Formats: sequence, structure tokens, C-alpha cells
Amino acid sequence: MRRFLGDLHRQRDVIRLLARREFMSRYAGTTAGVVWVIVQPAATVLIFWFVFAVGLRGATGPAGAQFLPWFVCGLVPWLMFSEVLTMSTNGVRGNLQLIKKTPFPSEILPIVYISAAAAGHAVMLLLALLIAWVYGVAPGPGLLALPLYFCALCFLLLGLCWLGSALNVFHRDIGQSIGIIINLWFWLTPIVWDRSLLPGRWAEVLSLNPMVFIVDGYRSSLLGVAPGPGLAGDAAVFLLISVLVFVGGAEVFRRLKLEFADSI
Amino acid sequence: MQTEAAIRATGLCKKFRLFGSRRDRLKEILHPFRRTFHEPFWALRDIDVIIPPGQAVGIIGGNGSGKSTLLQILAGVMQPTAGSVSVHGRVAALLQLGAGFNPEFTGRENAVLNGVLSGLSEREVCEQLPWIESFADLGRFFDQPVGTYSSGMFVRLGFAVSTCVIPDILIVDEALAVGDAAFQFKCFARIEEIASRGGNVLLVSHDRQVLLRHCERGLLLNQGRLVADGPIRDVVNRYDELLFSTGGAERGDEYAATAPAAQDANEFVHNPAHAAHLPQRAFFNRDHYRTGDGRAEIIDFLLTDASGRALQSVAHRQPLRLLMKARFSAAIEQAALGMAVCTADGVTLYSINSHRLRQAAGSWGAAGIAVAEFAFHLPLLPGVYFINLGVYQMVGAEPVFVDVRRGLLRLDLNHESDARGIVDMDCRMQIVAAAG
Repeated sequence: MRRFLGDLHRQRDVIRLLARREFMSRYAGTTAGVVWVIVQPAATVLIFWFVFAVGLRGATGPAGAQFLPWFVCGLVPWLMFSEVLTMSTNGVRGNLQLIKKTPFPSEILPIVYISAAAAGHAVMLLLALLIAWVYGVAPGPGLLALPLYFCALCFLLLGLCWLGSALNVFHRDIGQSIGIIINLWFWLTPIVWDRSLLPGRWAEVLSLNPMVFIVDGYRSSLLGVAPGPGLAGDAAVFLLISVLVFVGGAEVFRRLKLEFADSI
Repeated sequence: MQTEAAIRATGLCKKFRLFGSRRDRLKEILHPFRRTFHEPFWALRDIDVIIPPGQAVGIIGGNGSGKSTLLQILAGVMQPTAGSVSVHGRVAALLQLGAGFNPEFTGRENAVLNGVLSGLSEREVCEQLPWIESFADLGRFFDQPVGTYSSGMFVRLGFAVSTCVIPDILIVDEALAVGDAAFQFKCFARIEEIASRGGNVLLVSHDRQVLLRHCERGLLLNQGRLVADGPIRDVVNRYDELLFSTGGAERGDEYAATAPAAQDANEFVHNPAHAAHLPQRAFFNRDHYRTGDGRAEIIDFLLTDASGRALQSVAHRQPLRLLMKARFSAAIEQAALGMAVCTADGVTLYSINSHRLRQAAGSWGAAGIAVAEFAFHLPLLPGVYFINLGVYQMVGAEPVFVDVRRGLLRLDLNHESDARGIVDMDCRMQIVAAAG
């Protein structure tokens, strides 16, 4: 395991190269170019805002909070999460040519996708701060905790992506069902609805979802809200689950990696 | 030991696991009690090789003999099932076609990516980009997505990237064959340069001349085992033996014999049984190429000396009689029987048929037997030669193949000769004047 991680460090050049290329290729050939980085998530925000703030009149947000900034701050980490997970799951399959013909370090692929998505993520963070400011929330010292939550998100993603991308090489159904899984996960995470809406028992079950900690964390640091009393518990659950996922994902990937070149 | 081996493989084995489905593979890999769900296929078994620095090694073997698997393991793309490999130095590998490019990236981007993957830094590769561009000589395609490339262009780019910085070990797996002649020439010049600067070159090729020219040592693989390891010339010869192995009735019922085979010319012609005896015949090459519409079948042949006794080997310039027997299952007008002598790479040295000889190009009736005799000798230098036999129907001047068997006989001429080439011109040479 330690050698596995050490190798990652040695591949910086490859990671940088692939991430840059990944980012560029997504917008190359489109007329609007990099503008899509903002337009796509903005459209998502607009749709949800229309449905929940105009249609349902903020019925799902927490009492006393503005829906839009509250919602956007929760959506920002989720967009990053779903994008990287989707890309990574098909990442190894998509690069089999390289993996079979060159000593390609396939374990770096999740890092490549995280790096490529980070640029869009930064733009989204600025957008979220802008919206918060428009609604009268000035950026506060809570922002200092943001890098911590970002790192936590990446840590969780790494393990999940290793798991998904390796399994997908042998079990294509994973790649097909990842969209459904992510969609389901979205609704199981309090992004458009508030946790307080859930009865007690369900709230406990829900707190097993590691994304709860991330989404709440982003919200509290972007909106300068003091974290609730449940923070320590959420953090402990997150730490436990994400470490399990990370170790499990790395181990599964390490074992399956030896078979990538043989398998197709 | 004075010098460290560049490549050292000990007890190398590679088992491919053949699974009924992908799911079985996954089940096996992750099974907590290591249950197995596969059929094993051993691509490599117990390979022991030590290659000292600077040696050029040719790897040869039939299809599926494990050459590519061995190279993939040495290149670090694949893991051995058992045994160990240690490789010292930077490896640049050109493994088969496609060389591992991303089809969406341009040639330039793939060049950088591949260079970095082979262990160079991004800066080093970028410094070499002008060289790569001029060596690959792709013109405007260098900045087009690689998906638009022809196979020749793939190789141009792949070879240029692999060798832009002289690697310690260069691995080339048959890839160069698709380049055009001029590019191949340029590549081999580069390979020579790498070798002369002390780099290792590992070459897989089916082209004997390429291996003989560029390698000093040969490795012969057969069914995953290393069956010969030595000077390239010896190994190439062993390969020929293996490839064109004579005799052997393993092919089964098709060649089942029904009666003892005639052993002299007289009996061959007049024996009324006319049974098929091909696999029992000396010089029979099981792996010959057969084509034709099947209205007649070559069922037997016999190679004899001038007096008509069956031969087991052919002496230099020995007068020979070759008899062929064909059975007709349908009436064929303007039928002809023919024979040709070829080299191992398919160059026809001599061919003749009854039509051209204006021999009674008969119309043979159904279920008839035709026997032809060719009397000749072979003024050839030592080497491996093949004889084709055929039954044709002449339609105007054009032959239609009825049963054509190319390389049906394999002759090994083993006599001593100081000359090189194919034809024994029986040259007598002397120095008639010498300066000083």
C-alpha cells in the first residue's frame, strides 16, 4: 500500500499532462468554450431554484434561510462529486489502449479527473460566494475550513473511484448503472431538502451517508453558519466510512490492476 | 559477475486465465477463499534469460508462441504469474500496432504523453518534439487527432517517440512491418545507432533477414517455452525446422491410410488400389497451403531416384523423379497437372505443367486416376525448398485451380557449399592476377 501511494507521487508529470488535456478536451470544439464551465451548473441551479423556490415556495429549505444561497452551497461539492465519479468509473475502460501498450499508471486516473474538475469547482465556489453576497452574506472566517472539506471530498472520491473504475473493467453493468446510483445518492443527500425534515430514526440512518458531512461542511463555511451540534458525530462517521472506502478501494484496485492488461 | 545484466528473467511463467465470462474473472479475483473459476492457458513457461547490456536480441516463434507476452512483461505492461524479471535502464517499447495512443489526442499530444509514460520528463520530451516531428514526417497530420491516422502513420509516430531519447532498452514488436520501405530503412538506421551506443535492442519479427542483419542473439519460443537460445543464425534455422516440420499424421482422418504405400515408381503407377498416402510420404509437409474447387484431389506423390526407388533425402544435383497421383471426381475438360519449385519465402524457381508442355491435356472422366511424372534435378544451393503440385483446368490460357497444394513437399538440401544464394551456378573461380 505504501509503495502504491509512493508511485502516485512519482507520476506528477503524467497527472498534470492528462488533467490539462482532460479539461481542454471537454470544451474544445464547442463554440462557447470554457463558458460551459459556468453555464451547465448555472442551468442546474436555475431549474432547481425554479422548482423549489418558485414552484414549491421553499417548502424544503431550513426555516429562516434563503433557499437559493443555501441550495447552491450544498450543490457545489455535489457537482464535483458526481462529475469525478462518473468520469472515473469509465476511466480505466476508456484508456485500455494505453494500459495495454504502455506502462500506464492507471491508478492516477481518479486524480486526473479530480484535478480536471477542480478548475470548474473553483469557478462554482466563486459563483456560490457571489450569490451568497447578493443575498447579504459576506464571506467570513468560516472559509478557512473550506480546504479541509475539499480535501475530505477528494479523499472520499479517490477510494470510490478506484473501486468503481476497477470493477467496471470486469463488470460493465457498473458503468451503466453509475448514473442511477448517483441520481439516487443525490436525493439521499440533503441538498435540496433540509435534514430537519426527516424523523429522528431516518436522520440517524441518513448520517451514514458520508456526503452529508461534506455538504453541511461546504454550507457552513461558505455561508458562515456555525456548524451544528451534530458536527463531531458526522465527522466521525465520515472518517470511518471514507477510510474504509479508501483502503478497500485501493486494495481492490491494486489487485485488479494486475489483470487489466490480461482482461480484454 | 563483472557487468550487471540489462534484463534478467528467472523462471518466468505467464498463465492466462480463460473465463467463461467477465463475472467469473471478478468472482475469482475477489473470492475470499481463492476459489478458481478459470481454464488455465500457459503463454510462457519457465523462461530463463539473461541479456547483458548492449546485446541485440531477436525473438522468433510461430503465432501464439508467447513472443508478445514476453515482450509485454519485459516492458512492464503485464505481470508474470510466476518467476521474476529485473530490467535495468529506461525501456522504450513499441508493442504491436497502435502503440498505445489516445485516438482523440493529436499526434503532438500523444508524443508528449507517451514520452512521459516511458519515463522522460515533460521538459525532455518537449525539447525532442522537433526531432520527433521531422523523424515521423507526418506533415500536417502531426497536429491532427491520432484517430485519423493510417497504420503506417501510427508506427511512424510510435517509433519516433520511442527513440527520441536513446533508450537503454528498445523493444520493437513486429510493428515496423507496416511502415513503407523508406521509413523502415530509416528505423533500422536508428536501431543500429541505438545498438552502437550500447543500448539493448529486442526485436520480434517474422522476417528472417531483418533478424539476421540486426541481431546477434536469437531466442526461439514454441508454445510458451524457450526452445533455442544462441547465435541468431542457428536459432533462425531451428525456427525453420519447427515451422515446416515434415511428416506426422496428427491431422487425423483426412489422411487415414487404407493400404501400405507404394515404395517404387512402378508400383506407384500400376498399383490398382490408388489409396491416399500423403502423410506417410517422406518430404510431406503437413502445413502446406491448399486451394481449389475440389473436382479432383491429389491423393499421393512419390519422390524417387532415377531408378525409381523412393528417397528419404535428396543429394546434391541428384537426378529425381517426382510422381503425382490425382483422383478425379468429375469429368474435367482441358485438365492439366503441374509442379513448381519454390523458396521458403514463396519465390517460384521453376514451374511447369502439362498444358505448357502440350502433353495430352486430356479430358479425364469421372472417378478417373491420373498419374504424372516429372524428371528433373535441382541445381540449388543448400537451404529449404518447397514443391507445389497442382491440378488445373485450362480455360483458354488461364488455369482454374482444381486442387492446388503449395508447399506439399519440403526438401532440405544440406550439402556443403561455399557459395551464397539460391541457384548453384557451379562457378569455378580463381585469382588470375594479384597486385604486389
